[in-house]
Amino acid sequence: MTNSLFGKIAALLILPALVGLGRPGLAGADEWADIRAAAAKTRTVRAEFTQSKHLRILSRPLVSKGRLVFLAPDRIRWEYLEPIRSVMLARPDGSDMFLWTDGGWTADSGQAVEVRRIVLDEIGAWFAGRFEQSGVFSAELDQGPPLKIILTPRAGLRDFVTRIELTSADALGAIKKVEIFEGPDSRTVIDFTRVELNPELVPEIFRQP
Amino acid sequence: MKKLLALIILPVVLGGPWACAARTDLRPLADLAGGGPPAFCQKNAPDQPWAASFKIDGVFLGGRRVVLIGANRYDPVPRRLESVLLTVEGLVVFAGTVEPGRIFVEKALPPFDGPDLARGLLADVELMFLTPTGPPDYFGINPDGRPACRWRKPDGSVIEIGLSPNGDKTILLFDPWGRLTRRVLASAVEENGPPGRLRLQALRGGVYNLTVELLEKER
Repeated sequence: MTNSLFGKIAALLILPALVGLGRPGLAGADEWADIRAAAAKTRTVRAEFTQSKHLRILSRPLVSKGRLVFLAPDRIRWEYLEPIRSVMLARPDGSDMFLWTDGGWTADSGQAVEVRRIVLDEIGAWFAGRFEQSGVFSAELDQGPPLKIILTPRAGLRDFVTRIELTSADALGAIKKVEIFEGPDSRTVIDFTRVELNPELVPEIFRQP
Repeated sequence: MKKLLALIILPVVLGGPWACAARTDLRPLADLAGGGPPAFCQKNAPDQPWAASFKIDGVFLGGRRVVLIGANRYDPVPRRLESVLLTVEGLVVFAGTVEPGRIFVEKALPPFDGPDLARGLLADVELMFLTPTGPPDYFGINPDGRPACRWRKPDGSVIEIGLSPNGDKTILLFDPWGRLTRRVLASAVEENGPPGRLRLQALRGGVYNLTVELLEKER
């Protein structure tokens, strides 16, 4: 498998969490055009998340906590606070990953750099709500309730991810939960809290850990 | 001529199977008072199942650093360890199963998809978490002054486990030529669970250091 494919796999763990986050008016939005219109109103997003990794070999999920910041159209800060501190920074001019080790930040200059660059290839379409135009996933709406966007990987990713489900929280349409299914033995659930739409951001947070 | 032959043959006869390897790292064990193997060698593996998650911090030749999350499940009957490696973001990059004498790779994404690397990774997992069972082949005091036991594997390699006064265990792996290939320091060792901390030094077949720290355990 190429680095590009690995990058797309890593991307799907992060991007679905950001897609449609806090989009007002999604409830009852049974047309992709409504989703794109809602997406256009969001300039920035800030939120906290709890990620639960379910594995067959563990009785309890692995729980990670973190926070994300997004600046349209293509700047992301995805940060894990526990149990392992790390920060992924994505910008149009490049991407970086930092790990907190030995009391300080260490740049990860390996494969993660390529992963972040590939993430940016998809990010524009996701945040513009153009799910149905993705070259990586096919998308369908499940009216529920609750409203869900179901993403199914196209050829190449199916051995690693079977589907992604974005679940709407309530009538206001904010995405509350993302579930990533990797097969019968593995599933990742990301729950978002303390979501802020259009907060003011400092640009340096997308360059420095 | 006969004297020359004797000089060559006698060290082999007197020194045992490792005498031929002039640069062997495997030194004889000194006698241990008491007659039998130390108690820590007689029960060297948990007899209860456990599952746990770990933080894995790896530093490779050239200084490259990788941080991953590991999850292991141990079952004493049959003696089996299932192991999964994940990125910090939660992507499963490696999964495999280890039983005594058998390694099975179930999933391996780059850079773990090379067959030698994948099997080597599980061999390291086996060394750290599946200590030998059964009576040791040799026991005594090792060159570091610690009580130690050794088990010879079917392929001729040797595993030595030594016990420090503070309860830490040192696990050494010697190849069939007596060369030290792996050194593991296990701290916060439990009788029926995983160690709290492991440090592995890979000295041959790839040079790297791994620090494995327990995050959470369950039974």
